[in-house]
Amino acid sequence: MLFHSVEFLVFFPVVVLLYAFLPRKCRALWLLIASYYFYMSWNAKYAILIAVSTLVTWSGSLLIGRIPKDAASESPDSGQSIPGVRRAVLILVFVVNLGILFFFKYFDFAIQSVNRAIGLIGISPVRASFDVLLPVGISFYTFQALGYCVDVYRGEEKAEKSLLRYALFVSFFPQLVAGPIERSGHLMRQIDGIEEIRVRDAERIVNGLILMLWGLFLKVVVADRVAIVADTVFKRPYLYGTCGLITGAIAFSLQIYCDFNAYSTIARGAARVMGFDLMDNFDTPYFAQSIADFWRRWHISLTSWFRDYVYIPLGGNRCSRGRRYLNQMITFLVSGLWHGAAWTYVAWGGLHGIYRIVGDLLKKPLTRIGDLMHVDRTAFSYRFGRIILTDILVVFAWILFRAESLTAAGYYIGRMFTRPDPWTLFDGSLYRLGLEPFEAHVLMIMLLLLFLIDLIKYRRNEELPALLARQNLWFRWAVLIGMILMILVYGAYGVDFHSEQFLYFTF
Amino acid sequence: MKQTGKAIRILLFAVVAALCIAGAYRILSWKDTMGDYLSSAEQLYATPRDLVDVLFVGSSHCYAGVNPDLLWRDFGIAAFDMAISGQDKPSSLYYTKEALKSQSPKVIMVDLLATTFEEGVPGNVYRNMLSMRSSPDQVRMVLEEPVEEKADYILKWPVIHSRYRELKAYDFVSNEYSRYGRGYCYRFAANEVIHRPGTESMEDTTLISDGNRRWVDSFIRLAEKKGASLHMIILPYEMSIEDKMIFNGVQDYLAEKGIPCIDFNCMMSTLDIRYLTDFMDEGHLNYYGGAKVTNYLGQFLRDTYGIENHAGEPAYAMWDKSLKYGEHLVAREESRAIFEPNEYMDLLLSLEDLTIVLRMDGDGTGTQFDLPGAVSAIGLDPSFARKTGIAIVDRGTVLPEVPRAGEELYLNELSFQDMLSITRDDEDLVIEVNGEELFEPYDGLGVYVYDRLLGEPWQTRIFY
Repeated sequence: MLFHSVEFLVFFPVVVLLYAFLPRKCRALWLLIASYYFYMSWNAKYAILIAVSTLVTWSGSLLIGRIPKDAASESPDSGQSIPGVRRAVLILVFVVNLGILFFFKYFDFAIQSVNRAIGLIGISPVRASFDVLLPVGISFYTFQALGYCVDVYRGEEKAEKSLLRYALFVSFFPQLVAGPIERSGHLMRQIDGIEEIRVRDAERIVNGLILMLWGLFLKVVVADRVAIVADTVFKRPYLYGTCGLITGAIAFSLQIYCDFNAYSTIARGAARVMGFDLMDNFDTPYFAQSIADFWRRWHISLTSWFRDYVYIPLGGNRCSRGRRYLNQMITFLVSGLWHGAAWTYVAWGGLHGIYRIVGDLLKKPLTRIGDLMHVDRTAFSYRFGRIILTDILVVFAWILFRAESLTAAGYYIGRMFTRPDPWTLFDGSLYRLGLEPFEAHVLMIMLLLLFLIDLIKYRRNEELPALLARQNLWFRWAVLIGMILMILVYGAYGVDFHSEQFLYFTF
Repeated sequence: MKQTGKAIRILLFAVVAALCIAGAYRILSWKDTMGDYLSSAEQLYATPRDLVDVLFVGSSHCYAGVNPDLLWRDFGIAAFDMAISGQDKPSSLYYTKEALKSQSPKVIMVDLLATTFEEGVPGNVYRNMLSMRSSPDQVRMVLEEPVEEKADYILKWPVIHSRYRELKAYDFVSNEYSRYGRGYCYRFAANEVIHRPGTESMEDTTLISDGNRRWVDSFIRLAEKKGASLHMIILPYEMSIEDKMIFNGVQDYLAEKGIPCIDFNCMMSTLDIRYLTDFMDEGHLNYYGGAKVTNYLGQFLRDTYGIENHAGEPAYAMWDKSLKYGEHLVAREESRAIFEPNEYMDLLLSLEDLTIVLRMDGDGTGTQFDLPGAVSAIGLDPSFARKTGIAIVDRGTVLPEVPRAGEELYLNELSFQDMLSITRDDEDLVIEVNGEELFEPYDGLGVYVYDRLLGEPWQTRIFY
């Protein structure tokens, strides 16, 4: 059930209405039922996976929570240290969950990679292969559940005794299939207090609905339209020169931002309607002034997850420079692999790792050069230049992410640098990238609108609902009705269009 | 109090939003604007209750083959073509039901072509499902259609919203003909059809399919329930052997049930329908072929079912208007073959609602025609044809000098979309419609005719 489907249009109001009018005690159960129904609408069988993951992490964390953390305590029977048992339980939980994730997401990729490697030295390929459908959102809920276990292990959170509430934490439908990957300290506590939530808060509901509307706009009006340009160029890059290929890469950068941001925004809006607060996953990432800044703004929930559960345990910043670079590279490579079972994702993660390391290495010399040249670091031009440079690096990396294979990415990049065709900027060629001129103009207007909203968020740290709340009634209504009409009219859905699934479902 | 205020605001917002969406739907909804995708649904909905005596149901064969305007002109029969391109079985059945909600025809004549459709062609399905008003029957029809996106077609919006790319004037301003047309589509092109002799007399039969049997049975029940006589027809086209075998099977079943059927493919020579001149293409008759079929049907309906003659009755003004529209189309078509200015002017004189712009260049002495006689036929002074000048005859009235002396510009709003302008350029006068110049200076008489009823111009003519 996609957020922009007729099914969800029926499902969501029914869930909210019953949620609002059921006795408080039944709220958690009702949301759990709704969440499982939501998940099972993709493939009922895969509900077993999320149930297993829930049971394993819940019982594991309960066990971890019951064993004292104190290192001085010893188990009198086994002689094994108690921290050791706790760690063993945690490892077991990780093995089971990551095992499921590996099997469904990476097994075929691993076999193919092994086959390719042994093929190079003349060994016949292994034939084992499982043609399994990737369970929707498996990476998201697995990471959320594992994050919770680590929090319990570290003693930062208490183990949740109620299986019902914990199951709802793992499967909460607004963020189940594509995040944000919530932290137990944030969402679990809200679920614990579900009975106290003031459900019929009109202002909050309207805010939530505005967020959902904005998310829908981003998805069906902008993302699905700009996707046509990206798909056209990436499908047949040999037809285009430098300008077309750069346009294709920019189009994909916008597509993935709008698409994923759309999902997160709808998720936050839906949760807000029901009285829950989910973390903001995107904070105007294309206004970032460095790669490090970009990662503070892009897919924030995943970045912070990797920071807290991978990078810091590896040693983080509190180690030698070489070790720190290694930690960064490992984190980025794993992050790339998390996005998909292909070497292109790994390369994308690796490239961002290189960006970070090179950026760090160049920081001092560049600062010195800047000082010598009396560069004013407070000037708009300086910040603007940094934003543009960061965006160029990010867009370039997206080519690896979008390409079908590393070979295809190599061809794309190679051609982009060797086929200069500036005349295509003037002869109308850019109107032949899959969108009719009228559609291209619609897209440009919509992108301008997105830019304005993001600019306001960047400058004032203010989201659309808050921005609208400060305006006069007629303006609020005009904006909202305008958005509804734009979604209904310009949205890519229905018989004529085949709206693509949200990109991040596959990760 | 605060809560009530909030509730009122939310309610008001919902109302305003709903009104805006309804307005957008009105613009985006699929409409028949006499384009290639004809559906007479809008014309049906515009018809006052209980006027239709004979309802013809079918696909493009129907709207090309049976001309209700001629049935009206020659027999006073109030007929209507409930016809949609590619009308398949569910569509023909449910559109008949739709028609019977407001009409009580004495005879329902259904084209059997739908029995040869096994699969819905997407384009056909599109117009068949979108032109019916939303109702339980529309839902049932969509559910029976062989399409995957049933919910989209039931809701309509998911299909029609993407029409923003193809919006035309008729999406904003209603097409007049949709308010009174009787379902016929005028097409005059004649293309020779290579006929395969013998197909029409073939006796090989394909046993009637379950789907076709159910469809026939549904029509029988429907006609019985409404007290109408059911009569099947097969309109002329260059049918395949497979189609003929299906028709034979269906006709056998109809005979069993006592339902009469006329196969016009077996009457081609009787009706003098010619493969050279009476077909638009292999599948469709043109206006001239349709006139022959219609003439036969008129006599048949009058003689067999005693259909009443309503000619002259004010309630049937819609039929008069539709006939007039058809006559204008026929006149425009026939004017193309007229090369004599007097004859041309006589034709113009026989019609109302024309704006005629005449431009005389030179003194007319070099022409082979009697130009003074021609212009006097439409009310101009014969001296007009003896010197360079412009004249306008607007709906039968000769306008005084345009532009008047001292004026630089004359404007005449021909329709909502078309503007006639005459501007003075030094000594010369430039005649334009929507900024396009009508005549190049040429020794002789130029005639531009704008048909206000059709909302379109005729072909510009120059007699020299």
